[in-house]
Amino acid sequence: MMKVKVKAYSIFTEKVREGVFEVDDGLTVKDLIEILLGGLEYRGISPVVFVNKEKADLNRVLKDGDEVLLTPPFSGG
Amino acid sequence: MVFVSVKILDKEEPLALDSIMSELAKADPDHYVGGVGLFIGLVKGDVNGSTVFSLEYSAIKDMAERVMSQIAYEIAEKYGLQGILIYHRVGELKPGELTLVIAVAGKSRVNVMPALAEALERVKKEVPVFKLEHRCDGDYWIVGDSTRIPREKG
Repeated sequence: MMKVKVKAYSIFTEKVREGVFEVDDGLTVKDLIEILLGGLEYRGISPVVFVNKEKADLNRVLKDGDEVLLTPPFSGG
Repeated sequence: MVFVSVKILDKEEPLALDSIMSELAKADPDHYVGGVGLFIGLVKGDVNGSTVFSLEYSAIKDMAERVMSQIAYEIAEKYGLQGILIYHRVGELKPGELTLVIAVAGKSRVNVMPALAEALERVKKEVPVFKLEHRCDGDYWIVGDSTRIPREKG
């Protein structure tokens, strides 16, 4: 088992609680999103995922201590 | 050498246009600059016929400042600017309040105006900033440029 820190932004805060989650070794970003959201999107929005502040694709394998951020498409301005 | 300044500002932090102008002027002591293009974003008071009470901005601050800095340097190089500032505010802002200021300083309108337009489009799409709109008909997440999704309260 390993621990990953999760933080959600905007619409994903409705579904995902910020905190540290204990998960299986070898878990991918895709696996984690499915656990957190119950699928690869929430209310029609697919998350943009960052691991340790760098954009991550779905196949990335998570490591112990990783920080995972879930955001919708940005809306600056 | 180009002058670059980018900041994510809490709403309590001051954001004055005259201080932006003096920062740009200080960075151009030999007066190469022939024009400054300025974009000022404001909170709108009406969206699709609904009154807006406030717009709540949040950001991933360190990532946002890193991306704004990258945009600023790339735009400055592409258009040969002398200076560029990008200041984005976060927090709960009321209609009419400033949300974003972008100032670009260059030799003439030929490089300044397209630089300003491109910087603005990039800030809107690439900087990790998020909005929650508080309106007379409920709260709406703004996702991407303009998609609005009613907030579900848990």
